[in-house]
Amino acid sequence: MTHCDGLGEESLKAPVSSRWWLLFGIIIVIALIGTGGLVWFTMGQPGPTLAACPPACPYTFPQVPSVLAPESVEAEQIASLFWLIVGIAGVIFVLVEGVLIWTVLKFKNRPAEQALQIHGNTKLEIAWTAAPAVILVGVMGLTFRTMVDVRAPATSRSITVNAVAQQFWWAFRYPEYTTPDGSRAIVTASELVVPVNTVIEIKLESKDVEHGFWVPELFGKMDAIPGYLNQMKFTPTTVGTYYAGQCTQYCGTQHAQMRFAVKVVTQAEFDAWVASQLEPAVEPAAGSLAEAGQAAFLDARNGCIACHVIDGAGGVGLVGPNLTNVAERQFLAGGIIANTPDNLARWLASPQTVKPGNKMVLPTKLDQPTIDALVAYLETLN
Amino acid sequence: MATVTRPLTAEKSTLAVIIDWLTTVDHKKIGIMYLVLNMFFFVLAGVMALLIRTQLAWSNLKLIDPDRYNELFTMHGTSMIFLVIVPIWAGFANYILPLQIGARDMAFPRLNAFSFWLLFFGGLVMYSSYLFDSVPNGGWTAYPPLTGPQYTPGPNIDFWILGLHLVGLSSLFGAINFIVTTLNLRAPGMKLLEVPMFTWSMFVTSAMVLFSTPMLTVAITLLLADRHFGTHFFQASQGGDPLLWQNLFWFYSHPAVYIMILPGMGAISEVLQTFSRKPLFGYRFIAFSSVLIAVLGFLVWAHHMFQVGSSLAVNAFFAGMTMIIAVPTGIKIFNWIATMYGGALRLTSAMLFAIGFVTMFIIGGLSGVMLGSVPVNWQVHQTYFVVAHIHYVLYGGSVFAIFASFYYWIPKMTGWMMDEKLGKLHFWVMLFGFNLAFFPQHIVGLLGMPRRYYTYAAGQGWEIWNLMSTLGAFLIATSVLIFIINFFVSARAAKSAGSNPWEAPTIEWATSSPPPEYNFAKIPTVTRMNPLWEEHPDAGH
Repeated sequence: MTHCDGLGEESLKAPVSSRWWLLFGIIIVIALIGTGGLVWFTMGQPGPTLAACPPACPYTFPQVPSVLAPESVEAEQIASLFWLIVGIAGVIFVLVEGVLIWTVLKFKNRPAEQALQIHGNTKLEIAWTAAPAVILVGVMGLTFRTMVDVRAPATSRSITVNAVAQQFWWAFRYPEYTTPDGSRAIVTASELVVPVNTVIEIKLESKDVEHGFWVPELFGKMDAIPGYLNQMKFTPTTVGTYYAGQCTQYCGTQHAQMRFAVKVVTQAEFDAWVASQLEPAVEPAAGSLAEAGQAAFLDARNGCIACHVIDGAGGVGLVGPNLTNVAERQFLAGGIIANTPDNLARWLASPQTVKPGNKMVLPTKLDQPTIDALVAYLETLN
Repeated sequence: MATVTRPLTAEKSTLAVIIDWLTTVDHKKIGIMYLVLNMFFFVLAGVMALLIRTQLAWSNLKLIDPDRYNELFTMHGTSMIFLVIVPIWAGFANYILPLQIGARDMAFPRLNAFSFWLLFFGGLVMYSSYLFDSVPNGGWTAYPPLTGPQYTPGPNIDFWILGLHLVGLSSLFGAINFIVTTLNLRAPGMKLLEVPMFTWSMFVTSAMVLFSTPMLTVAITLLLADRHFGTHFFQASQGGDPLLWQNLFWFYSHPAVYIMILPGMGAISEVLQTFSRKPLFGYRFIAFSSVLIAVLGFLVWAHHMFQVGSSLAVNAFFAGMTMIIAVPTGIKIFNWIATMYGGALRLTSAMLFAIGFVTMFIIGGLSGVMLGSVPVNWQVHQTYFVVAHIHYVLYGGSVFAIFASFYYWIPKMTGWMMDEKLGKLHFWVMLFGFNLAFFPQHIVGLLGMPRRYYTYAAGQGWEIWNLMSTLGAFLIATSVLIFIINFFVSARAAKSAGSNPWEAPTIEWATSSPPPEYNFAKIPTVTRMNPLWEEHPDAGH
């Protein structure tokens, strides 16, 4: 049988007229202009600078997060389910792809008349419909069981924390831990301190847009949706600090820089922490730079008190983090830069340079003496 | 009186040709315009991907602003979905479907042209936002309240909405056209359950488009009203419900992913059949599985919402439906392998892309089942694991199918053959680059890297996977360049294809390449499936 499949013929040409070359050329030019313009637009335009993080405040977190290194009861349950499903998927892939590749290698480049002219096989169809269905029902069952386990209500000791999401940081309130007169509860920012082997009940809220709450080692994520109060729980099993608390629902300019850390401590350490959190802010020594800093903080012209509160000192604003114990925190600026005097000074000098688009917009630029005083004061607050 | 001799058909002037194309209602010309426009957006959105990957190649890079970056991933996703993959199948189907069923054109030629121009102007509206420095930046999913009037007061989202209004109408009118054409204009003797698999797939896809697209239009109109007419459907601060948006949006956008893959599966079925020299194994099962996918596709949307706080019962329902939809998909994969089994395989470029498609889709399908398991989803949702999954099914799936379709049908559309050496080079570079780009993303997602992040910190072990991904992306771009070069090299060489260079069985190959304006000199009467192949004496069903 002769094969006239046209793949080797050179004799007949179907010429393309010059008009079409002109048209091709025009389309290419438009595409080049389009892509060039896109690149220029993206990279060449002036806009908020990203220059702000010199080597002294590197965005570095000394820890490899991992869904598969669980450190809580619930994350462990999910990781086990994951390995099981991955194992099943791996076996299926090797089998099916193996048959595929074997088929291609065995039947390629055979003479045409050897091709089997079969149209189907009902028995096979039933078999390869039923087998996957059975496997999937199995996976479904395991899924349902893990879902119920992970979200089962706490039966043992638990504490409740309100996690409040906002552009671009996390606040944490502990409503069960208040001062004796009930006037104040513990409020922190960007750092969640919890006791080990305790069920932590999280109530998630958002003050503005949707955000997502996630720490891979500790729990599956849950969204904070304005208008809703979402609830979830996790039970940490290992003392340690987990740095990869991140926002996982696109929420605007600095969605990528909205971190928090979770510090899992012993019950004793937690009790001590609670006690120190409930104390009012440390009063700065008379005549010290810190005292000048406190005055600068309370000076309405600087704008601090409009957004921040330091319990015992002043401030009315609930827009920004509560700063009562700010010196204790490991990170600043929504959990992204280390809490050092240098970084704090850099932040106060221009928050918009460190984290362009964040909500801290100072009414006036602070001068260096004011910044030094504020840093001295804030670093005493623990 | 002097006799004037003129050639029988005078060559038209360039202006006349341009006007002809701009005003044409011929399905073949409209199909080509679709394909050119869609590939144009493919290149633009591809460059956006390269910019994204460059910014993410290492930790703490400062090449691109966060605001610009957020525009990039928004426009990349929106363009690839609405301006490339969804409409490009309408483009292929525009050209091929009437030919495959033996018709002279679509049922509504003017509506067909209208559909194209709606797409053209929809894309133009959306991209004109660059001229106003108000590029859409809410993600392709545009969740309010972020995209509401309070948090995006500028017109960015309005450009997105208005562009999508036009593009949605384009899609909808195309769907009506394909359904009516398939039902009414088949050649005499061609039963509905004997049409070529590409036609059947486009027919089923069009039914999905018909029922899902209006929901997108509703959702974006309500968002527009929130943004400008003082309503608060989605604005929580005024008593609205952000979750309402998610439900409306995903009610369309989940079927949308099947809209993007099903025609590709039809095209792959054609390619596998032709280059195995064997009829498609289990035609009826593949056809029926398409219908099952189309129906079930409307019942899984909230698997994009497992982490919004729904009850266990709600999540369980959608998880269950998501698992079930893997069954008809598996049926197809097994039938495709069985099609090749026992065949006489010719590994042309089109065939290589088809085989690559099946492999990539197995991987993407398996990661989809993982994502359907709610607790696993709670961990990997909104991470690069999801980005890996969607690109395995949309790129490894749809885009590979698109290139298979190009290599398969360009000879029919142009009359000349694509260069096979360059085609194979394209395939291998793309296969390697694609897997290098996206397989590591499964890993970095499991290592905790969220998506839609313009930068990431050092020390978390994410750099190496991101670098691999960036290298892969540039390899993909190189392979696309090879394809474009192949197109021009082949146009120049202009090796004649003849009417049926592949010895394929469906009747679009029964007319010349390219077909005359009237498609067939005489509409063929068809007596069975695969009319151009002789009935094998031993053929059974």
